[in-house]
Amino acid sequence: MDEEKLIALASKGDAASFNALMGAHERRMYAVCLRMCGNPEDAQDCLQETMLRVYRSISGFKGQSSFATWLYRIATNTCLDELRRKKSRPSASLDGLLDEGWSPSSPEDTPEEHAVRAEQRREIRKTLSELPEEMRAAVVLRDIQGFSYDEIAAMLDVNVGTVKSRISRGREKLREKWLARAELFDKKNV
Amino acid sequence: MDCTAFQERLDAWLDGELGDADRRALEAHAASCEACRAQMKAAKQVQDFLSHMDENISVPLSAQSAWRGAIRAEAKSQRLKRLWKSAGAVAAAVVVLVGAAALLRPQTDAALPRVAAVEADGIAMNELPVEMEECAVMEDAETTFELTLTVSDAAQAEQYVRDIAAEYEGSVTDAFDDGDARRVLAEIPAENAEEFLRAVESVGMGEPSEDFDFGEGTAYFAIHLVNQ
Repeated sequence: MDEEKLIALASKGDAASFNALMGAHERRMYAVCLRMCGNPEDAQDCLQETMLRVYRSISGFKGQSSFATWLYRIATNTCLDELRRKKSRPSASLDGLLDEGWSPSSPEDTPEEHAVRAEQRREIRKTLSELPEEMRAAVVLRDIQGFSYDEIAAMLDVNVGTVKSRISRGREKLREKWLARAELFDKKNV
Repeated sequence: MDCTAFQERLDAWLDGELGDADRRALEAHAASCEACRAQMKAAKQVQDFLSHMDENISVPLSAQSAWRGAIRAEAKSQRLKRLWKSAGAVAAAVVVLVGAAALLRPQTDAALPRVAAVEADGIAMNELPVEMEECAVMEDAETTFELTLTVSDAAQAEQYVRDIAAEYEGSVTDAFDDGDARRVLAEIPAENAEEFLRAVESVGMGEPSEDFDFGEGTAYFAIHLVNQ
């Protein structure tokens, strides 16, 4: 069944259609929640709250934007709300986060280089979770999820210039950490 | 191009938005400036990492059930709200019509006020609480309600059915493979059977069931989970 039909049925309160509709977006939404919240427990709460908000307001979706834009706007806002609410709590340890293990296969990498790459990746994940929330949202939506600048501007309710500025500063911070790790390795091995 | 101009154009380069002339100038600067070359390389590496970071992410099972459970609860609460609203309206209509029918006929036909009430209010039959509805009465307490659902993951769907059965104070009594599908047998207290059925229907795609009087005691279900 196509998305439009599922949306129409879900708008009438049909839970089966809602589940089928959201099933297709679940993984991506969870990924956004995870990178915004920084740990799986908070991501689960965020995902649940997002789904509820979507369920309660889907009858109000009239195609004023693409469904994805509408959806991820809710997801991002929910994450930002949750983060602000939890600000007083200490941030969860990242040790529990498994290294998802994507690594560019580089046959020239020595075991040491491979270890540095793993360190760099861990550093990126950590730095990402520590970026100011609005900067984090921009980087997550652009560089991880691949949304366009226009879509992100609509999701965050800001203009494209603001989105570009947040992404630029976010990328710069990540790059700094990446280079710092590489320099540490180079210094050790000179 | 100097280093400042280079830094300013780096993001546009990453996004593939740099014109040919600017791109060539950027690459030329990088060829002669070690610091900027390192920046460019790092920028690309970080972007490559980020773009693949969550490719293979899987949603933990607890997260999958949590939101589905929350939606079930929400759907149930919305349905109850609608039922109370329509029950209130229909009860009032029935009172009026029973009164009117009593005036017209000495013997009130038991079915008449209900049917008249439905026509008067235009409320769909399946919105009415079970007791107010004329529908198939189970003669045989051991009748099994059959249901077929198309799902993307039968094992996961079976787990949901088990969770839902427990939620409604029932249990899954048996589950076995039946050709390409999974057959799940459940027993649910009759007073919870209708809610159980609606909750299970949300697990997969299937024909919405007609309303059914589960009678008293225990309701028996045979749920056929078909992989899509």
